[in-house]
Amino acid sequence: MQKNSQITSIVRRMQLNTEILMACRKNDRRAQKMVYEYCYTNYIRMCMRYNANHEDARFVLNNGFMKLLAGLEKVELDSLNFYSWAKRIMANVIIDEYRKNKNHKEHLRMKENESELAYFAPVEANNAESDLGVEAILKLLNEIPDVSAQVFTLYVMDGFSHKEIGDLLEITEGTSKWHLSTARKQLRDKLTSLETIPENKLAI
Amino acid sequence: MSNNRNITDAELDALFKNAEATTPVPAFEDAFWTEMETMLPAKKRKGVILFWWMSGAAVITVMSVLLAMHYFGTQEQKDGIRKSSLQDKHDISLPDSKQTGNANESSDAKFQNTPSGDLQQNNFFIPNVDKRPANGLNENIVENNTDTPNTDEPVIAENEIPVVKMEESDLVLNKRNFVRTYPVVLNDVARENEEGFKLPLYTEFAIGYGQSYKRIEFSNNWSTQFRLTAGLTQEVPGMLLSAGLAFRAEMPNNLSYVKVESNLSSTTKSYVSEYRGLYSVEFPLEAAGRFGRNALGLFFVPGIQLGYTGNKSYYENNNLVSRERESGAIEDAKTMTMECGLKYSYDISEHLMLTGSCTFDIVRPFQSAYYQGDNRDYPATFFVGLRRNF
Repeated sequence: MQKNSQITSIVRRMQLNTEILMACRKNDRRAQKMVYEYCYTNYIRMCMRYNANHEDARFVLNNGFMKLLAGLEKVELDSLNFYSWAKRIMANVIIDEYRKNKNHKEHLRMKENESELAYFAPVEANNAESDLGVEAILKLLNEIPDVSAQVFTLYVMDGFSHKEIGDLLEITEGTSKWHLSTARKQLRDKLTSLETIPENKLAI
Repeated sequence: MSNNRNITDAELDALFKNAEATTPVPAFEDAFWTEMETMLPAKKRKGVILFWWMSGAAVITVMSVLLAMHYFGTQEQKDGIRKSSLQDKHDISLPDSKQTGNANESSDAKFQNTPSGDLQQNNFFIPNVDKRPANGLNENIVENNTDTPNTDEPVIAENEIPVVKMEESDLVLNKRNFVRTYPVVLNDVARENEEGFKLPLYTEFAIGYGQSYKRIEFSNNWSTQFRLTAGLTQEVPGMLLSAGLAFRAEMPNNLSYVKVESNLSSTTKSYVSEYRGLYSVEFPLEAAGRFGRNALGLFFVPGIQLGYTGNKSYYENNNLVSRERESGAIEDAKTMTMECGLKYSYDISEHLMLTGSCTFDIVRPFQSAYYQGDNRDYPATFFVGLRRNF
């Protein structure tokens, strides 16, 4: 009876991935694949928020996974909350990559604004017409300032606290709260303008 | 418009959360992992290979040295062995030179320091045989006792001690003179030659207690262990060297081996195997200093260990689905091991030795993903055994 309860506790602990992480640390490929699959399932969506396509998101995820493997050597596995720890590492990598590519992306965005505005305009109108489509809503995040969008995403979608966001973005908690408030206000305005486009068009 | 302006923070957050949640994400594919795997550093196989090469080389070297020493050992060592053998067979006592009143004491002072020199001073009666060595030895040996009367009466050995030129070592000359003095030695030498090749073998059986390399899930991970060894051994002046091949069996009581099939899907499938036997093949090497009947030295044991199961249970989401008796090697439950420590031996008779050893694991168990040997509190093993030298 006592043995059965002990075995049950083993299996419970296994769910925390301790054994797999230990194997991962020892460079076991099968264990590493399991952890990678776990990371993909849980964090690819997070990567995709900051990257235009799936390939780029995977590239960032892979970088994050490399850092995760390196970090596994140094952490105490028994007391590790792997999900939170890995999410934090992924967020760090995502933000680093985002900062690296920021200038390049801004350049592209400026180009789009100048020369291709006409091309994008009808698309936005169409999205608005299709009862505030999912893509249209998410695209609104691209239309507000970067830091505000990042704070909003990290807080609302990824579930980080203001303190964690402050650490990640190297800002104070108060600044993080201000950015969140600003982001919400701006997003509300954008949503309103999205809804008004069809009305204006109808009026015309 | 007014609706959007009035939505609460929570509603706004929910709107974006839901929008994000409905965005399709490509499902995981093995190709993604293949791509990732190319970025990972190569597995550390080099260290494993080096470990085995070095262990193999060490064992072969030690065995070769022991064999070489046995066959091509120095003449001095052979003479020493022969002398002690004769002492055993003929119960030769070694009288004090002062008591015997050696006539050549001053001229052969150096001689008397050698074992054979001592032997030649005893008071044995010598058979009346031609004591002159074979041809070719005359140039080295010159008799100085020409005054000795050539009678049939027994003579005292001390009077037969020759004066030798020091062109060969004391022991070599000593041996020749000894053979010359005691023809029975010739029989011993002949007998030794007839016996031909004889390996310097030893076997040892030891019982031990220690912590296992295996995954440790319960508090008591100590196991009873048995080791049977056979190998080569060689006594050199002041040292005892041994190299062997050992089979070791561990009998753990409370060790379990857990393998999770998948914990990514909604169902967690796990297999829990309870160890009933851990078996190792080892290559123990020993180099000990000799202190009379005692020998104390380094003990070095590289090896490989395999795990075998007793009961195997299958769980789904922590619920026991099946439990069955199983025997056979556990997949992945193998590791290479390396222990280093001290070993003490005591001669309890001419051929038997009592041994005791304490070894510590000096490398992490590796090769298998399911070992946690490095997590042991006391990675030590203690053995007590009996050794037979042939």
